[in-house]
Amino acid sequence: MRAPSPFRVEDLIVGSTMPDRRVGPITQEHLIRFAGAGGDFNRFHYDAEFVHSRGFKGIFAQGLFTAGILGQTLTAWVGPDMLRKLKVRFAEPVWLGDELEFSAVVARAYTTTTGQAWADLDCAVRSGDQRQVLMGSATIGAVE
Amino acid sequence: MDEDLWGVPPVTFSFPVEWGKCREFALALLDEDPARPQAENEPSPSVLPMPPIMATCAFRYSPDNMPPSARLVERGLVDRARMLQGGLEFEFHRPIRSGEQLTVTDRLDRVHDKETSKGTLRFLEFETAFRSAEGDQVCTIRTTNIERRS
Repeated sequence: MRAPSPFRVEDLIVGSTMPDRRVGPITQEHLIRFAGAGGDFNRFHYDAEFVHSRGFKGIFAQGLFTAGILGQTLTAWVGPDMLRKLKVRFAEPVWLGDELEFSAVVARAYTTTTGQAWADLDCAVRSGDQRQVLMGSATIGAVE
Repeated sequence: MDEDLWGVPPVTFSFPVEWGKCREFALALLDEDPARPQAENEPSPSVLPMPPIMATCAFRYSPDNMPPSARLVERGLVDRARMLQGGLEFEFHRPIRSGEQLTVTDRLDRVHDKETSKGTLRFLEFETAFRSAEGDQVCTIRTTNIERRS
């Protein structure tokens, strides 16, 4: 079996895509584990009674949980040293039970003034029912 | 009110990038265990990459254990019930690894109001700068919180 080629930003062109990643269904255990890592024990992420009292239909995930998986998915693809920028905006809640699909597509591929190959990506996270829960962008490439 | 907002001083603190916290974040973000040895009978890697999102939790190492927006809430300058999280932007000037000791400075960077059909929205933009032991800026986070004013 042939070894996979190493990732190279130079090989990306506009329209190149990150391998899609699917995660889920999101469980309470996921959210508690993330709360423990980050130290954010906001009750919206584990206390159903509290959440209903505030008018929400159910427990929802920390925005940073979704953004964090996007970050890990990007670095798993390009390598941990290659993420230069990541920008996210949270569009909709991620509910318990949601399945998530992470995607990114190259919007611009270019060479920096110091000769490094960089690429700008449009990123998205969609739920199984096709709600866009996060939109964002990223820049990848070696440090200048 | 803006003068009061600007009266809240920047907060600077030390952020140790701990090996165990890098592993915990990676696992919480559903990665395979980054500490798994690369080959049989080998030890775990002695250095791990810092998961990008982990930088947002650096405030847990600050003396008051608060993100910059919470400091304004604490002083009654912003109403938490009217505040939403807007955008979040990271810039990594170089990779960050476990074992580093970074110096973090949180500060309010920009405040502006916007009139909309639903009333006035106030945009509060915060900047968190991470510097290495050598004083080089290695990461910058910009967060935007939006407060409904009317």
